[in-house]
Amino acid sequence: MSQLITPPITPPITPPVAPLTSPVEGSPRLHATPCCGKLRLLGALAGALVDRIWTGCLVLFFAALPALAAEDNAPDPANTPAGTIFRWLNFVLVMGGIAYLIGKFGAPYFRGHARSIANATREASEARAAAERELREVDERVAALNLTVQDLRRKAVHESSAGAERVRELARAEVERIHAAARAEIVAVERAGMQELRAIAARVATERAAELIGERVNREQDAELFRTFISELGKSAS
Amino acid sequence: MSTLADRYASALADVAIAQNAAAQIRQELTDFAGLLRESAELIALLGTPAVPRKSKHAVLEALVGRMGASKTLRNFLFVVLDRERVTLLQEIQQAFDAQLDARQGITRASVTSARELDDGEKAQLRGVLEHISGGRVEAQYGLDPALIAGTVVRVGSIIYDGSVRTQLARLRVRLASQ
Repeated sequence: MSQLITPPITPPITPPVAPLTSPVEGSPRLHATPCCGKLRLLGALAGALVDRIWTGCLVLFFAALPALAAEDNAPDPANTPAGTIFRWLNFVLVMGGIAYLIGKFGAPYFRGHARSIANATREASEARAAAERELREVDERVAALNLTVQDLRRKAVHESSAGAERVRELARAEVERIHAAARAEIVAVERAGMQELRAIAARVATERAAELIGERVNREQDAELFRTFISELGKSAS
Repeated sequence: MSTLADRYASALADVAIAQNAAAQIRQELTDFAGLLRESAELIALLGTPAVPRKSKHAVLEALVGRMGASKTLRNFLFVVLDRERVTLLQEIQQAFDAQLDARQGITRASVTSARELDDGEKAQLRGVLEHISGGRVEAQYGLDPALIAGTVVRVGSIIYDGSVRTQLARLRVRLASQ
């Protein structure tokens, strides 16, 4: 009887509800919790409410018994010991019937209810564990993502600095090359200019010399030149 | 100069030297070659197969008679005509000159000077050239005022340049390269 009056299932109902909402609230996996689990939870809550109503009715009934008994102070056959016995007997019968009905229909109902609540609790625990696991995984992934992002950022910074250094090095080499080419070109142009200048000077000098010789050479000088030529020709022959 | 022209020239040189008429035949051949050079119509007439050989012979006979050339040259020209080698006659003449020069030990020299050389200078030059070549030298003399002063002598492919123009040119190259 006492087991029926004080429902043993009320205390475990509340704990699963509170943790379910709080840790999973922020998790994206909360929306993935199965719908039947929620329905079972609601069923468990409704069962607890019915149990409390039953308990309240019984308390009222037992509280009303002395008042009902004191209503008739007149001698009443019911107040006789036999009446009292019958009343108690009646009470026992009624309570027995109620207990029988409760035992017959209530016990399976409550057992099923308790099972469903236990299942809901277990599923909630599993869901919580899964959610926590997923949360941990997500946290790990986020942490790994952060590490990856940091690594990528570090690499990008390193590559960027390396690229900038490479570009600077290339620019330096290009500048050096341009300088060298410009120096070589200047030297070549200078040399070509000098050569051209020498050629012009030589041409002008020889042309002028030819004019002067043509003007001043006479027959005697040409004859002397011929004799020199013949002499050298004779030397070359010997 | 073609080998064919050399063969004809060699044959004519053999005959000319054998008859001891090399100088005469050389002159006659040179004159006839000059005649052909001046008349393209004559070359066309002697070269074309459209004109009968008899007519060509008659024309050649008339030309040789008018030139007063020897019978040797006349026969040689008939042979060249019959073999249809008239177009080679210029080359044959040059080859004949070269053959005769070679057989007679004559070296030909070309002398160019800024002024005309006197006989003494020519003899002096010929003596030196004969000393160099080891044979007789026959020189052709020419004038070129562009030489400024001095003389240029060409013997075969060898050039002896004693002109002021060449010396100035060498001086110019030396000045420009310094």
